[in-house]
Amino acid sequence: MARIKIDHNKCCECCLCEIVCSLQYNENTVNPKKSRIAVLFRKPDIDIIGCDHCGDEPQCIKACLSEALALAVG
Amino acid sequence: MHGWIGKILRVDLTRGSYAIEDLDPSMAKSFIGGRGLASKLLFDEVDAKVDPLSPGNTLTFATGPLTGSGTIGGSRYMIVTKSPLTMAIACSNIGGYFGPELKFAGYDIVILEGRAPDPVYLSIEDDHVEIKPAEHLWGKTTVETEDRIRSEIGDPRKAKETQIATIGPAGENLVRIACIMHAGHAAGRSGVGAVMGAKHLKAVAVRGTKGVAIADADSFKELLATLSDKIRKSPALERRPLYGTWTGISRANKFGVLATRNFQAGYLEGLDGTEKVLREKFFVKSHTCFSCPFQEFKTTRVTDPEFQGEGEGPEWESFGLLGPDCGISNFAAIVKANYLCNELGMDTISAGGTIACAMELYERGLLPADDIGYQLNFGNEKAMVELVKRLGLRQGFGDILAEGAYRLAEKYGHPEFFMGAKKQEFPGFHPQGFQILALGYATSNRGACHLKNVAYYDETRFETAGQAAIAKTDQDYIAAIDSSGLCHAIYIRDFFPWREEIAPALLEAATGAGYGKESMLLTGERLWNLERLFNLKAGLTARDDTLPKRILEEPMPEGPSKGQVVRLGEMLPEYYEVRGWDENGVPTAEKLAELGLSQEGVR
Repeated sequence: MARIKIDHNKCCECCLCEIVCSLQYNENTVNPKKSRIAVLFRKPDIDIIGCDHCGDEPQCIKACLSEALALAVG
Repeated sequence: MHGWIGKILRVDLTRGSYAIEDLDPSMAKSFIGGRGLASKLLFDEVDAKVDPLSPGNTLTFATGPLTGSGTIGGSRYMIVTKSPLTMAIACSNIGGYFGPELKFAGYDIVILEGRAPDPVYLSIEDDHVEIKPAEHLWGKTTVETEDRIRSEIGDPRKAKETQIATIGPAGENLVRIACIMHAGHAAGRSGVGAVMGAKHLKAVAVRGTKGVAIADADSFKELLATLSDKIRKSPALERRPLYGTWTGISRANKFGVLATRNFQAGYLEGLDGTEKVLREKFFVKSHTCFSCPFQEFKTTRVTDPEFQGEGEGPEWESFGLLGPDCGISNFAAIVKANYLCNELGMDTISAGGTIACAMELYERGLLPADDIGYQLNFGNEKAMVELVKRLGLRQGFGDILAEGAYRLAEKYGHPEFFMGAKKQEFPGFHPQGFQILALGYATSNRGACHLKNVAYYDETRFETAGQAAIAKTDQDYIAAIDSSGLCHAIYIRDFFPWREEIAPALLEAATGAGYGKESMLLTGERLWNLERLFNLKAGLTARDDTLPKRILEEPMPEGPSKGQVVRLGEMLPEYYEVRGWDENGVPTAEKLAELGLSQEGVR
């Protein structure tokens, strides 16, 4: 199963991933608290209910300018 | 509404009540938000002659339509009030996460009125607004206050998501250069923290779960992608996480425009590569604002036992004023003084400028050592650090410093040694090295400020011809940016040449209100004139559009800007003309009609 992994050493907590996620799936509204990815709360991996990785091209990974996100399989 | 939330939270601290009002869409369109909308509200609701520290003044926290919109650099909000330092209109810009969170809670603007009988703080969680007692927070530093408020929130996730803006002891003590802090960021200038202290308001804490609706999401996403691509290719994306604004120090020094010894010079030996030394010896980690990947902000640590501590910064301007302007090149002392300013909640720039002014008065024999309690020569780093503390607490001589450099110099009979404009201390750039910035210092509505027009590091910096028109356009553009909720570091700095195309496009995509490049500039000009009208009503005149005698008459003694004086007389009449103001600096009826300000212009 694919997962979005976050490198907390690289993440600067700018929330751009949460922004694009919410804009995509939350009726054209920016709302980090409705994002399927949540960077402010440190989990070993991001594993979010309802996230299908935007097909195979996760918008959050594309938006991250800190290169902190990656799609990991297995 | 899109971009805007459409709601104003109005809090009456005297009565302990609040009301939620609708934002007037046509007023929003005309003034955008942030600095613009808040200034319009101040203009309409507050007597320009009000005592800034009286309950009749208001303190407004205002986001713009792009604050929290998710655009890169859309984190900013403005704190607007009448300043107790300049007695003119004040707008103090701040980043971090507070502004977006306020929008997510469902408000564009919070207006704080009156004065609470006892210390309070304002807690906002979506629709739940509460004025809470803050006796237990009074006297605490800004860092302690944020920690304490967070520790009182049971749920750890909610605690982390709660964003807090607070004053420190300086604001409580009505220090005229007190600021408002949020997570190491400062609404630094013009004494906005003193106004908050005078209202007995210690802090505002906010958490929200709603969102910001975007009018044209497809265009907006496309613009974000374009912006991301440009940023990804920009060398700044690598440099800023490393050094933040620190590179500004050696650059200013290289051009001979670094505030030095109360602006007696523009260059100090031994500051090449300052950013590398700061990175190597003090840096702990970088952090950033909401929706910004640049990580400009630096947490630092000082291990030198004499000045040890840990905290935020300094930014380059803070470094300039607390360091070279006080003749100090001991980095540990400068960083420590910066921590103290943050903890006590006061403007690093004005604190440094005020102490530098005291140093010059002392060296000239105009300020007796007995009054200060120290020998206060330039370069006395121990005295500087100690005086920063006393200033914030109004202890001893600090009580006089707490009034700012202008009132200090005037008290000792020599206002000519105050280095600033409209009673506000100069920032780190020496005006003699930049004619256009000098014009900006003289004409800025909030007093001396490096954030109201652009200093160009090129061959035009010693020129006066044609500079008035450039300064005007930059002032208008920046006024619109400050009203939108965007950050100067992305939308103003000269190495982003695409800035003026993308900002209006973002504003239009988010709001759908009909903005373009021209209308955005016109809105900025409208704001600039409205601020000017407020100041004229407050009693300021064209005589206040000036600079200290030294800056106008005594040539820069050394360094790469050697021989320069500011030729303000060559620029100011032209500036009034391009602004459509008469020779007394008063906007003409035609200009006001063009800007839709005829009503406001009635005196």
